[in-house]
Amino acid sequence: MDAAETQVTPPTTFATPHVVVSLRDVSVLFNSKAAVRNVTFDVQANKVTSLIGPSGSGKTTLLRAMNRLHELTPGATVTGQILLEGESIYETSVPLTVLRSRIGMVFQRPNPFPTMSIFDNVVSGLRFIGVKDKTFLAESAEKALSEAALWDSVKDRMKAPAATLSGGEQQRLCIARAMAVEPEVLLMDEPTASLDPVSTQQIEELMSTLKQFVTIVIVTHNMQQAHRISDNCAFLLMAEDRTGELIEFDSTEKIFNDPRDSRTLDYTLGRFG
Amino acid sequence: MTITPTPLSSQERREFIRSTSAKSYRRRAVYSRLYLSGILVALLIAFVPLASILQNVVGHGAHYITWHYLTTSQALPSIVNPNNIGGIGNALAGTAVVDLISIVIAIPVAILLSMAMFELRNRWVSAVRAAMETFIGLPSIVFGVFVYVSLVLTTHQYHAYFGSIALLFIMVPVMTINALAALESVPDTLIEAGLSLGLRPSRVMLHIILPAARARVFTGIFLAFSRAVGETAPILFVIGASQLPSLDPGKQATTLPSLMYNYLTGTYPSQRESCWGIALVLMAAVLFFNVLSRIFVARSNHQ
Repeated sequence: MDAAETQVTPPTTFATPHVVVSLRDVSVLFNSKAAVRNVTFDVQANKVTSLIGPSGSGKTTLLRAMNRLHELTPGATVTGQILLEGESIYETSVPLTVLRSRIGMVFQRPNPFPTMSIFDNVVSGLRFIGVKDKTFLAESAEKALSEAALWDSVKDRMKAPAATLSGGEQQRLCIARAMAVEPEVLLMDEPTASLDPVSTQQIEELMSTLKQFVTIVIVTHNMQQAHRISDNCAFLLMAEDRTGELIEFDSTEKIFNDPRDSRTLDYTLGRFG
Repeated sequence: MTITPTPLSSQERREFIRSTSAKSYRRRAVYSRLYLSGILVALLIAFVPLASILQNVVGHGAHYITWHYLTTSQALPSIVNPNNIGGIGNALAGTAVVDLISIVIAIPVAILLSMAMFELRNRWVSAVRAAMETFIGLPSIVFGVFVYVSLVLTTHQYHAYFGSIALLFIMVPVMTINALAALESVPDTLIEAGLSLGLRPSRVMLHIILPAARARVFTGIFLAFSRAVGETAPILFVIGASQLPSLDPGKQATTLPSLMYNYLTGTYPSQRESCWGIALVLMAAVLFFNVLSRIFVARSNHQ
């Protein structure tokens, strides 16, 4: 374990940004066939890091490995190291449930729990963790919904079923639900893929304010979106053996304007993929 | 635990949530171990009788399984020759006839019924469905009584195919309900895609829905068949008995379960002992069809 090597700089030093999650030589394998291999990059605190690349390049697989959701797929294994604040998330001493409350996730399709009210949805994570205090739950709901820019429109109908919200509102509810457990990292898997342009814009605006509370890693197919919202970009591409590889990791500025690899330029300009 | 009147900072909230989470994790880890040991105990409780049945049936029945036993007909023991029980050839033939006829009729009927019910979806269908689910729950002897009263008493005859009719009452509902559930599990988007190509509903059913549901439909068929093979009650008093192997559905017949019933109530210990052999054959048959269905389902899922 190379903890010393990946030891993070204290957040008080502004010269080197604080690294929340670092991936070291990470490969994800399904039944010993690699879906994505040897990925190394750092996710900086309170920044939006986007994973871009064509279908099949392993973006979502990589994202799911970051809160161990890939383990739901039989035969999936991860090699290399994923460190959260310098600690490997694959250490058996780290309880999976605690880990996932520190690294939340928002999915492609809004998935509020269909039988719960808006309020119950937002505080579901806290309740299931064991928080019983009503004041704390109410405060958390208001805080999380405000962070998700949904508080004003739902504060008078907290008891209404979550299904009565529109698609965009449902997705913001899911963001609030994830934020309520105060995660350090929020993983977003194409969070606007099933939304209309207006809702998409709202979610994008939301992310720029959200990042002061949480570090965001987002998978997106949309180049403009990655360009607009992210601070750093990881560009992945499928190699000839159909395994995803990290081609380039840099600031969004560099990736879109002055990439080191010609393939990155081709992709961001829309010449393939 | 009390909440301070001033709102907590983000960091304080985070720390509170993490510590609550860790605490509840530790508590749940203890419960988890408790429940796991509970499950292990339950597993043992379930396993012991099962293992004991298996051990008894195989232990007592294995030596009966010879070519001679499987092919010759039953014989009647006598005081001079108390161990003369012959074989189970006549019962195997009877079982084959009775079950084959009912399954050949049941499969198309059940599949057609399930397709019709899937397409119609009105309140009559709900009524039929409810009736079928009731049929599945009924004690099978009820069907035997029904066939006995309506066929045996009116014709004053026993026929092997009367047994098939009684078995149909068991098989058709099980197969239909399972097939219907299988059809309903096909995603609507597939059906809509088919219809949007301008396909007739019958084409969509035959070429899209049915193939997609194939594996589960067959599981239901095998399930119903496995159940019917071992049924005794509904056929016991409608098929009569036959000491000779006969494949004629119009004649009387003896099946494995009915021979077993006959032997258990028989006079000679050798007859009662022989039931282990029949039980083993029945168990092997049901196991065989279950394994077959699993292989089949695994295959069709891979395609």
